[in-house]
Amino acid sequence: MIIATLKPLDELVRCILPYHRILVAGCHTCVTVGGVGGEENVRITVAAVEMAAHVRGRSIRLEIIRLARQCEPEFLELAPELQESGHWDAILSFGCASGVQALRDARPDLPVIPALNTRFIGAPVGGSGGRDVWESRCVGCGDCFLHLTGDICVLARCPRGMQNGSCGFESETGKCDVNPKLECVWDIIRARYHPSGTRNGGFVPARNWSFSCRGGCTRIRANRFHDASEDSS
Amino acid sequence: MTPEKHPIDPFQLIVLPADPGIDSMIMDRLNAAVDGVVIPDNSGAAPGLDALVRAGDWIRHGYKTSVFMNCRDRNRIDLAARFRGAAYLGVRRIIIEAGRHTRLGTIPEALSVYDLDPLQSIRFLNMLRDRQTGSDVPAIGLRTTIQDIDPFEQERIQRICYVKPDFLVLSTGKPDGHIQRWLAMSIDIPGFSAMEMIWAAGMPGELAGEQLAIPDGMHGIMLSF
Repeated sequence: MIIATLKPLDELVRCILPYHRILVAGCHTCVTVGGVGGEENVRITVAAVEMAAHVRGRSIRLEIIRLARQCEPEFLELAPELQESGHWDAILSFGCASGVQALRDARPDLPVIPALNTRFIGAPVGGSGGRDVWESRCVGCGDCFLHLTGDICVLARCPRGMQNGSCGFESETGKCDVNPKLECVWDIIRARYHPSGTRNGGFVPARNWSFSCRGGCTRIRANRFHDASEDSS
Repeated sequence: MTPEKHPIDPFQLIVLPADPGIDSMIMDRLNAAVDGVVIPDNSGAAPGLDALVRAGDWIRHGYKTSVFMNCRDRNRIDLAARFRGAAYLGVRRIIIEAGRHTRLGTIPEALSVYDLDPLQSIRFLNMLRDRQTGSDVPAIGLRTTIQDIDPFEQERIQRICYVKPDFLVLSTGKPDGHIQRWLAMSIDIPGFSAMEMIWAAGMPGELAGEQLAIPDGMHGIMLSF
């Protein structure tokens, strides 16, 4: 699940002040489950933005549309409001960064303002109803080695990304020194440790970061079985 | 000119602030009472004078050096360049460690690089060293802590032995019995006995409560931890 957080209200207002007619696009996939992109949250945020703009002497028209998924063009084609030309000055997107860019690809003539900060691929770990607190679980390194680390992604859950044992900075009680609220992931790995049976004493070799988004824009062809080669077409 | 060495207690540790501006004063006061110095690398995730630049100064004054190199701030291109730079300067030893996290330093908004973890860094530098011509290449070691003895600890030592560091700088706050148990568990792991052991109390990146010795009969001081 892609997890995002709402941008600070001040920043949001500063971004939309140059415009008069803004189409607000929610996204009912990942970010809604994560608690920020859903209809109720969008309405509350839009009301707050309108009020803040009004306080600054600006009247801005914001109209909300519901999109099932912003990051796929087929879903964008289903929204008639998005096809209207001349009606809007800008789009305010409550989708992840991928959704923002897909919206701009669909309407290259309209600036798209991100209402959210896209944070990570994560999972719920607790809070009210078990879904209030989300934790990062994957950084999309493109070179998965979970089977060597007790099925815990140390790149997503260890601040130092220690792949071959803990850093040694953890507290006596097994808490992370960078974020003492969190348990050292290597303590969790130790608790579920099973000899990997791999060669090289289980050594996890260096990541190939060229497979990740950190290696520049990546394109892969879907549905290839046992072939992760990049798509150069 | 190499200064004459004065005998001092080999377990004396001289601790000084990170400010490299007082290095010349330290040298004057030391008056060649030690052979070598251990130089930190942006300790506490606060940028200091480049460790190699600092090492070069000490080497020019006749001291042997061990330079810390942490993987927090550098990717493998920079590690390779620094390794070559260290060899060029005549650095005797390189000690790899994880280092205090960027968020705990003076520039918390900086990107933590961690391209390689410490073991991967040693493996990478060893491969680089194998391709290096000439004999004056630095020894490469790992600074690590002795963990509680658990089923994973043995695999961790296996992983360390697999990457073949020349030496281990071990930190532990545990009592002696713990160290003995750890040694007993490790001694049969292939490659373990080939590594040189250096002991240091305290945690990595912190002031060691006892001496961090520089091996090969060198006495050492550790600067600014």
